[in-house]
Parts: sequence; C-alpha cells; structure tokens
Amino acid sequence: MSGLSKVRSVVFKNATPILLAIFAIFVVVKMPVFFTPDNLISLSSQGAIWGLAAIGMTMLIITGVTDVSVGSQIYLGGVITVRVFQATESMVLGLLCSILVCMAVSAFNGFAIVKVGLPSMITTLAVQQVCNGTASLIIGKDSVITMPDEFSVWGQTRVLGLPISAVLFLALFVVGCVVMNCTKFGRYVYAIGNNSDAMAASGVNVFRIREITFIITGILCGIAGTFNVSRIGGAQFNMGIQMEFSCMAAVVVGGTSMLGGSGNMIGTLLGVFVIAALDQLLRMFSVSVYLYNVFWGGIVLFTVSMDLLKKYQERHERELKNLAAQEDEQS
Amino acid sequence: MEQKEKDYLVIEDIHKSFYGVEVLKGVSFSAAAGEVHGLLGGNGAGKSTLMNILGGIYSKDSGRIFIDGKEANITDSKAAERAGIAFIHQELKLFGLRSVAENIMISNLPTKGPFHFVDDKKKNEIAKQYLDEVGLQVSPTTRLDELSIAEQQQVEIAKALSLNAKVLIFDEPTSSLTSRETNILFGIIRQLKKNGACIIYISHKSDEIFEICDKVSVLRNGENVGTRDTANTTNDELVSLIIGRKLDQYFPELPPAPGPEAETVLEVKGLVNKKLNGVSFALRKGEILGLFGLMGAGRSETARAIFGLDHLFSGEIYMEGSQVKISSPRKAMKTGISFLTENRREEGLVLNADIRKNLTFPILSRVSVPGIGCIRAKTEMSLVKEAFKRFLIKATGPEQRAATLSGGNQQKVVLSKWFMTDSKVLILDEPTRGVDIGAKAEIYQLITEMVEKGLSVILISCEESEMMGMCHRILVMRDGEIIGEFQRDETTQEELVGLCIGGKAV
Repeated sequence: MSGLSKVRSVVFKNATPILLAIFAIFVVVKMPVFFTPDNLISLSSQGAIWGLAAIGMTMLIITGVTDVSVGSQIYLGGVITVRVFQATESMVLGLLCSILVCMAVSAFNGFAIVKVGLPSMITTLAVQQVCNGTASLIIGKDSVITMPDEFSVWGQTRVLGLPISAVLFLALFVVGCVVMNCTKFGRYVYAIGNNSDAMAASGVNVFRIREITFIITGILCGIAGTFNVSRIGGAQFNMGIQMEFSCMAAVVVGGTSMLGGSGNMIGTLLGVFVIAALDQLLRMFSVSVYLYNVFWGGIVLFTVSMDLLKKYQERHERELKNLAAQEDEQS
Repeated sequence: MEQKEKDYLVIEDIHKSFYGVEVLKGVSFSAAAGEVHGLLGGNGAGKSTLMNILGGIYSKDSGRIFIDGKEANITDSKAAERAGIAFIHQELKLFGLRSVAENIMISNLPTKGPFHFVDDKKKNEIAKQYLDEVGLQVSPTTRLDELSIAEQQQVEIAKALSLNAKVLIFDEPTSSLTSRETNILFGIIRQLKKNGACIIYISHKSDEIFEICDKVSVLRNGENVGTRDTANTTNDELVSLIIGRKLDQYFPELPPAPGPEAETVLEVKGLVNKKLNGVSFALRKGEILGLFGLMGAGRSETARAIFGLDHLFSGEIYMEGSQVKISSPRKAMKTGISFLTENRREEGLVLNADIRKNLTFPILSRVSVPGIGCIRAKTEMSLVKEAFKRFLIKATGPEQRAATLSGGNQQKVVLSKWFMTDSKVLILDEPTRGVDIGAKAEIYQLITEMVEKGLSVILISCEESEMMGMCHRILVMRDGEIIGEFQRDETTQEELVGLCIGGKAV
C-alpha cells in the first residue's frame, strides 16, 4: 500500500475519534468555563436521562433495528409518573407505572418488528406518534403541569456531587457493559446482528433474544421518564421530543454501526458524553434553534457516512489481500 | 437389509409435497460411516429438499430416517443438531464481525462463576482444538471476515465438529474455492472420513465426485434413480442418469441446415467499434449460427453492437435485404431482433417481479387495449399459461417471484419472454450458463423447436460441445475479428479451441 492510501485508510477508519479529539482540544483551550462544576452537573443531569435509553438503543442497533420511539416513551412515562403521583403521592408507584407502560410499548414494538416482520423505522415512527399523542392527551389542555416540591426530590438530590439519575445511569451502564460482554445473551445479540439466519440455524430462539432487547429498552425509557419529570418538577407538552435523536447520535458516534453486528457499550458512554457536551456547548453559545438542528443532523450524517466508508475501506483492503493471495498461488 | 443395518445413515421412502406438488416421491438411500457419498441431480431434482429435511428445516410428509440404527425424529434444526447432522452451506452461515472462536462455539458457549459469565479463555482453548482438527492455522481470536472464503468454510467445518456431528452435508462446497483451496478441502474431507464421519457431498461437478466420493446417488424428479460405486461407473453413465436418457440424445436433432439458396435474414458488413475490427457475416432463415471465441474475443460485443447497446464507428446492418439503422435496443426490437444477455439476473429478469410480469414486459402493447394502454388481464394470463406449458417452466404458478426460481427455470422464463415476441432473429448469449444439466437439455430442445418454426438464432457460447451440438454453422472470433468459419460436421472441438487460442486461420 502506498503512503497516501495508508493515510486514507487510517483516516477513514478513525474519522470520528479524530474529529472528537480535535473538538476536545478546542474546548479545553478555548473554553475553560465549560469545566465549572455547575456546568458539568447540568450537563450530566440532562445527558443521563436519554443516556439511560441509549443503553438499550445500543443493544437494539447492534441487533440491526432502529427505534425512534424512545423519546416519546420517555415523554409518556414521565406524564404517567406525574398523574400517578398526583393520585397516590408515591414516587415509587409512579416509577413502576412508568416502567410498566414503556415496557408494554417496547414489547409491542418488538412483537410487531420481529414476529410480524414490520419494518422497524415506520413501526417505531408510528408508535412515536401514538405515544406523543397519548401523553399530550393525558396532560390535557393546560400543556403544563407544575408539581409540588416533594416531587422533585429524586431529580434534585445529589449523591457524591452527582444527580441520582447520573449515578443510576453510570451503574446501569456498567451492568449493560457486563451483559453485552460477559453473558451468553450479549454474545447472541451481537451474533444476531451479524447474521440472524445463522443464529436461528444454531438453534437459538432469535425472537426471544430480540424481544428481550426491546423490553430492556422499554424499562430504561420508563426509568428515564420518571427522572425527567422529577428533574423538571412537572410535565409539559412535548418534553422528550428529539431525545431519540440524541440517543441515536450517541450510539453511532460511539462507534456502533447502524448496519448492525458491531459496536460496544463503552463507545456509547463516550458518545453520550460527547453529545451531551456538544448540546451544552451549543446552548452556551446560544446558537439559534434552527442552526442547532442543522448541526445535529450534520453530525449524525457525517458519522454514519464515515461508518460506511470504513466498511468499504475494509472490504477494499480485504479484496486487495485476496487478490495478492491468488497471484501468489498462480506464480 | 444386511447392508442397511451396517449403514450409519439410512433414509427410507421419504415423501414431501409443497402446495400439492410432490417434490420427493419416496427417496431412499443409505451411507455408511467412513464413507463419502456423492449426491447428484439437476436443479429441482429434490436434492436440497431432501437435505433440508435432514437438517430439520422442512418436515417430511412420510418416510423414516435412521441414524446409527435408531430412528431419528428430526423436527427442527435443534433436533438435527442433536442427531449429529451438520450442514456446510453453500453460502456460509457465519458471523463475519465476530471472532473465529465465537463462531465455532456460539451454540454452546462455556460459562463460569455464579453469574454464568462466558468463559472466553476456555472458549478459545476448545475452539483451538477444533481448528487444529481441520488444520486451520489461525488464532481463535481473529475476526472471521479477515479470513478467506476457504478458511471461513474450514471454520464452519470446525463448528460442525464442535457439535459432535457424525453426518456432515457439504452443499457444493467448492463453488467459490480456487483449485489449491479445493485440494485442502479434500484433504480435510479425507481426514474426516478416516475418523469415521459419514459425509454427503452435493455437487454439479462430476470430476469432483469421482475424486472424493466412494459412492454416488443420482436424484431425478424426486426419486433416487441409481446408486453406484464411483470406481465402477463412468461420467457418461452419471450424466444419462441425471438427464434420464442417453448422452447422445442430450442435444436434440437439429432441423436440416438451410442451404445457400435460403433467404438471408440478417446481414452485417464491416462492423467496427472499440472492440470490433470489421465483422461481417450473414444469417439465413431457420439457421443456428454459432459465435465461438474466448472472453473478450468480440462475441458478446458483436451481439451488443447489433442490438444497439454499444456504439458503432462504422458498419452496415441489413434486415431481410434492406439496410436498417439500429441506435437503441428499442429500435432493434422493432426491426425484429431480440437479445438474451449473458447476465440473466442483472439484465434478463426483474427479479422482484413475478413470472407473469417478466414474461409480458416486451409484449405489453400486444396484451393491452390499443391507444389506452390498459392491460387486458385475461389475454395476458392466457398467453402466460400457454408459455408455461410450451416452455416447460416449473414453478408454483405465474405469481411466483423470479428471484425464487432455480437458474434453469429463470433462463426458461427469459427465453420464453423472447420467444413470445415473435422476433425474426434471436441472439442468445451463453443461454445455458449456470443452468443444471437437465434444464440445459430442455433449453436446447426449446431452441430447436423455435428454429423449426422459422426463427433464426445466433448462439454465443464458450462451450465447444454446445457449439458442436447446437449450431449449423460456427464462426470463430479472435481480437474482434472472425478468423474461421465451419459447417457443423467439418470441424472438431480440438480444432475450434486451438483456433481461438491462437492456431492458424483456415
């Protein structure tokens, strides 16, 4: 391989990490204010909410499906927590109900996509609309519900200087890491994303494994929903919208391929940090909301394109290798 | 019965129907441990159905399967695995982005500790044992898609061994291997045989069957039409078993060659473009004219130029005596020329459409209401039904998707499509490539029938036997020029081949 194509190969394969490194250096040099405790706490309490869902999303994307309904599930779960708390004064019950509802929604997603065979994009998009609408109906015409102070206890208590949601996120993240790397279940998830037919031929119940990944995502969305409303201190219209996008962005920036079969949890953790940091940064610059959207879309497009280029590059190199091997054989 | 009791795998009287069509009509055969048993047969003969029954993908309607003397009840792939049956698929069923060890061990990953975490160290150790057994020198932690196809196949064999498989089914395992890789594979198969495995070897290539198999069974139309010891049979015998008649009847009797007085349908003079250096010839009515040569000699290029697919620098084309200008395939079809390209899947068929749509694409104007363009379903359907009967298309019905047909039947659909256009000249580029031997004979028969009805055919092929068996007259091409012309009986296969690789022009 010539020098130039070697450079090209390295750049293609590591485009996202290289870009992130440049970004990190830029922030450190230019914006020391970014690293003040207040700023970091605000960042982590926001990022932790959709970061929870990103744990499940990583599993889903590794099996080869995308779920664009997670943001709406978080919205719906939050609204349900609010209503249950109003009725029972119990945060725990609110959490349980939120988890149950989101679990049911995700289980439905899984059934429709895996068992029935509906395409994941349109199915979860439709479910997203249903959840959004239902949640808004439950909020009612006031569009905002303000809650008493005790409702905000979970969202505003600090453990070791961090919000509970952030601690919970880190803990569940560690569990997710272990599940994906050390258990049979995790190995099956990867294998299904690689070649689900081959997995079925190996005698593993593919539907069960995939359904479980959906249910895990649902549970995580339920937890995220409760902490979201507790952090805000109430519910309002359309909170959680676009969270699925932050989720997906974090997962792909973390190196999980949208084509399925490869990726890892640690990458997602980094991705969550990066996306949350970028988010915060854009807010600090008070970038216009429109420009903000353009920026997010651009980042995700860039990362998935780079992933594809990386695949091409790898295939190209493999072909070259095979060609060389064949020539060896002939000579 | 004595013999059968000794055999490791015994299949008795298996029947299987799909949608009322009987695919297996009581197949029986048996194979011993330490034996490589070849399985031959055309597409649609029932080989893959039978193997899928063994693998637990399909369930049989009736019949019995014995393994090591005990009846095996194979209901799903897990049951097949328990019975010790493993498949080495034509298209490998592996996980490209995972490690070699993970691929081998996926269905019984070893675990340790109170949480049953996967024991990677043990997994790699066990995988290494099986890799050694098939003689593959790679680290178990290598990512699978860094291996060559041949090495990946060895991983699949290692996987089968890890499942304790005693019956290994190889489905055309050499289709994407080089000759050296094939030899390595045969070494492995011989080793497995020595260790007492019972091996079923499916292939189209008879030289492989003779090299590696001890016995061979031939399936035709869902029946076992004969089991032979490879030491006591010949290629000719196997071919006649496969096609169900003697080899000399393999090519149909051609209608008599039209004499020089016959009417000339198509004439080309001095065709020149990037690939052609002045090609001239004339095609008579009811004639099959062969264009023979190596790849790139200008055979397909000539056809593409005549059909308006490639640009011509100079040259003239005459259709029934009058000069025509063909600038596009559309023009060519209007003049009465049809072209079956060598890329059946890419250019010949709309794979996702059903057979009916594929058949009537070129003749939609004939089946639709004139001026309005609305398709008359009844007219279309009757044409399609007629084509099914006339051209021996084997399918579940006109609504079957083209992609799901066997190679031979796909080709028959493409052929029928062009036959139905009522063209005067049909150019066939490699019409039997990738088609099994039974369908091949049927395609030859179809071509002959159409020629008898007055069609003129230009047949392009790189198989000498096809040239000799199917053409009235053969033109040999090299470097974009015609360097030889022969009547059918004037030449030999050796002469043709010698000429196109650089012998003397006649």
